[in-house]
Amino acid sequence: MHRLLVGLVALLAFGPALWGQDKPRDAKTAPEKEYQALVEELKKAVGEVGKKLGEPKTDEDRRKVFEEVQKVVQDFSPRFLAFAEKHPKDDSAVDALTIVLLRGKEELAGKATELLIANHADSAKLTQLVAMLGEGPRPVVERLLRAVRDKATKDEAKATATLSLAKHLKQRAEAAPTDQAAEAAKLSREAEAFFSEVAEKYAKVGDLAETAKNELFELRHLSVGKTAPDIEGEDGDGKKFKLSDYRGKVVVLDFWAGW
Amino acid sequence: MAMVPHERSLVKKLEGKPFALIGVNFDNTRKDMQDTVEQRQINWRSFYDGREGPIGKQWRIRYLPTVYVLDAKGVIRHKDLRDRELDNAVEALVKEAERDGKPNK
Repeated sequence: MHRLLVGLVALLAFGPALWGQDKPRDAKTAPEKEYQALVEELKKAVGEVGKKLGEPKTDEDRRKVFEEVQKVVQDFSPRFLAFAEKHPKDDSAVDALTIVLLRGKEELAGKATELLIANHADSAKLTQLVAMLGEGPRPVVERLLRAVRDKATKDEAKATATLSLAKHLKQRAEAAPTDQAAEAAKLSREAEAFFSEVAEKYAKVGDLAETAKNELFELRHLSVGKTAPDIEGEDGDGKKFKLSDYRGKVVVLDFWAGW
Repeated sequence: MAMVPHERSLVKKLEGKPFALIGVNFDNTRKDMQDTVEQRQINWRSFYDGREGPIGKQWRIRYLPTVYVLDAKGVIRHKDLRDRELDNAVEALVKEAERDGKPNK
């Protein structure tokens, strides 16, 4: 299978599930072996795409390959779901269900979320995944994060899900088009509430509270629509001045360096 | 530093209008900053903050340049715009400031 496809498979199908794993894991248990076999089968199916379409030469070619690979993974996703239904409590089920959620058929997302929550809400493995899921405005991701936040009982799991959810909502607010200001404000408010929750309730969970506090400050004082904090300092000649000296003028505030 | 020529012309273009370009500088020394200002003919004022200064911390600056656009009331209206987009946003806000400044709107 040529390099582009290997890269695509890694990125597209297995991103979160196989982060940092370039080689196949040691398949110790029977379910793990079964999962690895499924992955190998999927890789072969993706390889067939390469044989069919040949080496991509233009951006258009690459787009076609990407779309074709996406379709192959989608068509394969019911088998990952079936595997997870067979071995719901195994760690490898988390990987399988991640693929279904992020790259599988849309209609399977609900079931995949259910299985994850029912069997892995407090698992370290799911918490690890949830920590990385803040980025990207996908409804599927939001559903999972809300579900983990509701159903998990361990502080680590709840706090991580809440923080990722807050980041996710903040991103959606920032990406909202200018004619949807009310929707953006609503998302921002919810993000703020969740950042607050992590900062206050989960002070003991690693540096999640610290991250939440920083995000909270940014949201409250440095985001579009907020009054900028005043600045007091000295200019190049050592003369004191303030940002608020320029009220009544439009200000471009440029943070820069000569290096 | 790539934005400097563009910013110089923006400052010149809006002379006499309710507009100011204010920098916050993170050079190693105040002298370094002054040298750069001279070399690049920088025609706006900057706070000198140094490498680990309080202003950068307060504004949670993670990368340079970071550019905020504030309206005449001090409200943040845009972040990290460049070139044409920056000009258009600034000019719209300057018009807004001039409108708000007149007694009969």
